[in-house]
Amino acid sequence: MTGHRALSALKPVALDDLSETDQSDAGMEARIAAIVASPRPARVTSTRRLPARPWLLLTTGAVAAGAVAVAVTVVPTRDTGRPAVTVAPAPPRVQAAALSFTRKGGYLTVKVTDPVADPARYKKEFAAHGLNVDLRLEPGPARKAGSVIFLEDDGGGRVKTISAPGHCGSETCEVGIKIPLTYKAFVRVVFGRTARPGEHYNTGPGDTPGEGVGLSDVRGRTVADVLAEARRRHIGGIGYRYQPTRPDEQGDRQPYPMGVPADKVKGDWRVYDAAAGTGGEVLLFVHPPN
Amino acid sequence: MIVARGEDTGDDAARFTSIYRRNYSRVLSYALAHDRRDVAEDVVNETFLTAWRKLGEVPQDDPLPWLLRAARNHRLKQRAAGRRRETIAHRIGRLSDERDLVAWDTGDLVAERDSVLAAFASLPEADAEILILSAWYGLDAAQAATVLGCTKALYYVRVHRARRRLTRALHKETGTAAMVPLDLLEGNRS
Repeated sequence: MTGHRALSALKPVALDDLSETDQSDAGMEARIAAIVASPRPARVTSTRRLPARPWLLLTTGAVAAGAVAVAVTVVPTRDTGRPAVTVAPAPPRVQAAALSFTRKGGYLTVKVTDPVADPARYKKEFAAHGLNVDLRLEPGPARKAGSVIFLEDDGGGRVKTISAPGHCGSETCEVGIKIPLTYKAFVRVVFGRTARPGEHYNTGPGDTPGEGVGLSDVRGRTVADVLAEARRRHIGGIGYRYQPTRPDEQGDRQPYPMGVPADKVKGDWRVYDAAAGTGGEVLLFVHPPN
Repeated sequence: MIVARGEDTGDDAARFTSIYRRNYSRVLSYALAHDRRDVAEDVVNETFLTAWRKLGEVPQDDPLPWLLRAARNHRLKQRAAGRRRETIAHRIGRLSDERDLVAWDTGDLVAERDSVLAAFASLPEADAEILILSAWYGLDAAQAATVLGCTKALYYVRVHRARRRLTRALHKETGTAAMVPLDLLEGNRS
């Protein structure tokens, strides 16, 4: 052997021959399926247009545990970063712990006992157990309460979620996580909880467009029709966002990146979705009829 | 909640599947060069999870450097989280078997292999890491820079220094540079 291959030749053959690894079609399919079924933020296409403005990242709706992707949504705001999920702040409560902790089999099982507590309280209680966990509950449709909307785990994925039945007063809180006792890595988990009456929430895949703001299915209806329903239901504070429908309107080329002025929106425009903005505003995603 | 506008999960799943199938073994090979098998498999899984979550960021034409960078980040995070650290030289020792000795053995160069390995083991881990990106995984400067998260210019500087240190270490081990021409230390295995 000539010397010039020396470094290359140090590469163990085992790194090129991964036969110990499950590379069967079935094994690979299963791994791919598990990943594709995991919660996933949606692509955000228009952030580049508003680089200087604060944006809110919201997880939308809730995703049945282990099921399809979750959508992350973006709402431009003039506020400075207070999450829109707290538009209806939880009332201050003086009561027992917001979380319950149980040790079992090398794991700490954490259940939510107060689903409307300030996230800072959860964080504090986790910290008291030496854990770095950011747990939040976000309002959603009742059928999705208790399911995992989002899980981010910096420590190698050893955190498990559980959905043991339990009730927290009138709120559904069938939620919990299991964390190895010695876990130090950062974990962020978001569960769905039932929205309070009148409380806006973020819709995601599987939800009816408009249900999070008290409207019936809005998709494909005319603006005039949706506005009439909003009036009947005493829903005010409506803003408009442009919903690109053609390839030449995507990304940087969308005509109203900062929102559509109300006087530009015609009654025969179509509604694609309706969502909660900040401060109780209802945003309609609209586009001209094609 | 301007949600998932125009997103086509079906297309995404198909694209992700193709990325996974084409790159899985290469990402695993990279991870195994740094960590023992169970950790490496975790790293690979995390890497593809990241790719799925950030599919829009994964380059269409050449996803491998992006994936290796994600793998590298997960690997470093795991180390920060206190997983036991292994060096690449250590990994070479663990992964090598008789197949690795055959080529060297036929040239009666097993002793040379020991010298090269000893020289390699004496390098700082950052040097070892940068050297194998091209030598083992065939990455060019732009791809390697992507993996390391640095500019191409900085990569050149770092790889040059790493090669120089390896050369010095080889001098020390063999007493001569003649066995291993300095400018040819890198290259694809072939």
